[in-house]
Amino acid sequence: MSIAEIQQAEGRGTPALGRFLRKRSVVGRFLRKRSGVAGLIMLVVPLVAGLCAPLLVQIEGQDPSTLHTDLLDPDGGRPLGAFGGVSADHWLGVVPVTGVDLFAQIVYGIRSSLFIAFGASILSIAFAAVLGTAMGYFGGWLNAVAGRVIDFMFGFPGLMFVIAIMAIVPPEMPRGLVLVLVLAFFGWVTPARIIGAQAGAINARAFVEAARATGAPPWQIIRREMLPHLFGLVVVLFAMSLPGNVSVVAGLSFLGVGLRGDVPDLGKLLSDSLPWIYSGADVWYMLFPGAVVFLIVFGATLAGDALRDVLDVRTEDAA
Amino acid sequence: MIVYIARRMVTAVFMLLAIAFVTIALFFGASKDPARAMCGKPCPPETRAKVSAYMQTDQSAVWQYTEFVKGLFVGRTYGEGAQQVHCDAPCFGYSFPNRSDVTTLIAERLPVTLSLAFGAAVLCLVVGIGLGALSAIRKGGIVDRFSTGFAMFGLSVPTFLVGLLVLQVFGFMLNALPYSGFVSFSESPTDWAWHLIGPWMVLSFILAAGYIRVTRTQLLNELSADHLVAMTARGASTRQVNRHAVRGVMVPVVAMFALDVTALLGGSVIAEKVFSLHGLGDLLLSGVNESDLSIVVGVTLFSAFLIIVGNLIADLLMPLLDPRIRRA
Amino acid sequence: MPDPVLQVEDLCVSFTSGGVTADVVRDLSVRLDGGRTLAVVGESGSGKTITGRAIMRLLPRGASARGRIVVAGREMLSADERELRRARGSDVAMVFQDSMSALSPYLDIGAHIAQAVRLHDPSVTRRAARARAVEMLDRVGIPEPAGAVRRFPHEFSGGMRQRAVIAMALVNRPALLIADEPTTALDVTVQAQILALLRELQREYGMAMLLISHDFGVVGRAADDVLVLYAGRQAEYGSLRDIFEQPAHPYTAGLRAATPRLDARLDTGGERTRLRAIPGAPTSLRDAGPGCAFAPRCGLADQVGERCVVEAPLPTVRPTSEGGGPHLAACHLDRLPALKEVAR
Repeated sequence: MSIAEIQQAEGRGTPALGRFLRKRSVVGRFLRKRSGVAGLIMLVVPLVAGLCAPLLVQIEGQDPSTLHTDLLDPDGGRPLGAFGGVSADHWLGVVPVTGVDLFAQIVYGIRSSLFIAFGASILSIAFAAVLGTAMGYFGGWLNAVAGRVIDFMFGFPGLMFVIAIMAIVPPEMPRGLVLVLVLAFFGWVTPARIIGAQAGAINARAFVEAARATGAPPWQIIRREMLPHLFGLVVVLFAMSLPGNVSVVAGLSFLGVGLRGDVPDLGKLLSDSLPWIYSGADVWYMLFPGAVVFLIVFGATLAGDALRDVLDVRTEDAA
Repeated sequence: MIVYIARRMVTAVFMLLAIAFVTIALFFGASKDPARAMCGKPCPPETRAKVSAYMQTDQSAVWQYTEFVKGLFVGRTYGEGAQQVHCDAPCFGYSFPNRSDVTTLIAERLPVTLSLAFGAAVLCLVVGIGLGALSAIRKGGIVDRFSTGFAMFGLSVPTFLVGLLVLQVFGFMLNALPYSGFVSFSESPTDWAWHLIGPWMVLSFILAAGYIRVTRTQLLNELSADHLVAMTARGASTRQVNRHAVRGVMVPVVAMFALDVTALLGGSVIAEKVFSLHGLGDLLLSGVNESDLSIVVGVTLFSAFLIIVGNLIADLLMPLLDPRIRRA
Repeated sequence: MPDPVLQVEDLCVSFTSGGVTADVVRDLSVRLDGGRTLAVVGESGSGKTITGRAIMRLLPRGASARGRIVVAGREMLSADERELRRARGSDVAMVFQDSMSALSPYLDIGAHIAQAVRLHDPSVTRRAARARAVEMLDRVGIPEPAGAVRRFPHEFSGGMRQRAVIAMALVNRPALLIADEPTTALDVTVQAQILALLRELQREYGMAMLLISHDFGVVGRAADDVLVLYAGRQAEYGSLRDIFEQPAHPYTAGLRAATPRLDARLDTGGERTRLRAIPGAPTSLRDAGPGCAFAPRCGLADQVGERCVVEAPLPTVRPTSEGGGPHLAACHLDRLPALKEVAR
């Protein structure tokens, strides 16, 4: 038995979360990773901005729906002033043609995008964790069937299918909720396979065998022996799925099949900015929301990557 | 080996049939009535029923599924007499709004998407494997640090953002590249490539990241592997040893590429939108906007077909690259 | 006296990492004639594998060797890349511990052996090289060699794989074979077969063999002479008989006492003997002080006193039995007491 295994054995019997946090060095080691901290800041600042959107907009003295047509060039609808109309009143300028405050649009847009992305990630990773653990523990036919389903899911043309589904959503259904469900439906596949493989490997380890030999019931073995070892992996997979979902949400809106109506949305802002780039009239309309999407996605990736290093889990999919 | 090939092919066919069933059941079985969009306004119920019968959307999902599969092999006929429309095999459905069978629509758009995907695949493999190999050989060097950052960037940044950036920088600010349009390869290969460089850059930037990582890790593993030390001990030169190490890198690269066919198709939807190209993704979006479900289903299934064929090729290639897979 | 096949003089191997250089092998001298087997024995980390690698100039990154190594008349440490390539696999070949990882998973067995042939004689056709491979597999006792050349490493059992590795190493009739723990990964019964095969081929080809092992049982079955390494230094050198019957270094004696013997009952006149472990963990040269590296674990250091801690012992001549070669031991004690007292 290596020292690590002895430590792991001693750590058994404590609930997953407690054990996870008791690795007291986790937070410390994460904070020592410069890229991880930078990523966390890049993620948290827009996140907080999104959460406090009404407050921030109030501080700015604007709202996301008032049309400020007086700030637009009457000929062409381009915002007047430098940087797309940036001023003390309108921190990031105004949207061309409508003259809506861009800052308010962006912070409210962050809100809806992150809400959907978080929802989809939580759902898909939770499902993947349950399924993966069951696959690893029970093996046999469950593993075989789930493996088949996963293979089947890999054959789906993911984005195209999502676009197609979003196209037939009846207007009376809330599109945000549908987006969460659809993204979760496609998001569980790879994580479930990784967790399943990992759980299978743990299940074959000596200490699980030993627990089984002492007559521990399945639930206890899963909870006490397997979950503590899977917890880090699940956390990392969650962190890694988040940026993907943020960019898909934005991408769908960009393609015109995401959120509809007058809900502020980052991808929609970017999609609307396309003609303004083509004409070269207002670059700032794209740059501000683009930078925010970039910050969130890149930050989440950096943080997820650092977390993976710190928790020392392997997430390579043995495809 | 023959058993292996046969098994893979049978699996592929079954997967296609299953995906087709799910898709058709979902879109024709549980969605809004496509006949309503066709019959115009006002739409009395009897007209609607007639249109629905003509479009064959009044039948059960199972019936439509069998008709669809049959249509793939023998073609399909809608309506009777003067109103009769025939859709030749392989029939991916008929688009009534476009008065054209979906197969023709796909065939029109396919060259654009294939050009896009093909060039992006070549570029991302060259860049990904090249940078990955260089970073492994000079671990910790400038190339290594650069490509690690590059990979991180590519893995995280959304495709459409990169697209917008490339369009903005190369298309408008530098005026170096055309920002839209497509010239077919047979017309002028140079113009073809010239118009596609932008989208190629975008797609390969997104996809190369994975290959950089895989190549780097795998090559590092290989280079320290005992069998390469043993090869040196037999008197092989460093060059011969390195060449052999590449074998080991090819296996995960091919496995990864098979999965990336999906990403390539998805990415090209976005690239087509950014660069105003009229490929499959654009066709799909137009189908979505016009509520033309035949196109939506046809394009989705055709994409699934491409993905499964890609996977099948990879499955057949793998045992040639790694004899250990041959037994499975 | 004929020129030895292998001559090592004052070999030092050091690792440099983070600006710190540490020796892992120090002042090693070896002489090995054709047809003879020298066993290099020691615990893990004693530098035996590194010594084997140094002879072929296959040191890992960051390691460098000083001193002199001559294999079949060729200076290995000063040889250029071309000369090295010519020597490797032809003058000196190697058998590895783990036959699975020593073989490329992507090539069949025949390709491995044919590669070894053609690397050293490009004039041999592919077909002729494969024919040589079949011959060689037959020679090492692989059944149905004509079919076996087309099989892949993962399709062989461990013993068969090791035979294939031996075939690959010997196909060019090297003057020196370095066998690095050739039987460690194998079952006991297969171990004996592989050792017998190595001995047989050695006699047939008249080659010298450097047998690297941690197992005194293996050494007793195959070696003519034994070199005991401790922490990268020569602890004792002598003929197999001298090492087994009159060890002059407490470490050698300890290793002997820690090895189970089938003939134990005869040896002790029917008295039951207990296996003894050497207390403590192996030291590395890195953290060894100026004194004897073994002193912290030595049951006899007290008898000598401070000298063991401050002065490293040099190898000195010890009594030899009849017909044996030189017998050297690096210990401040002139004579060891009876075996049982050695280990504390």
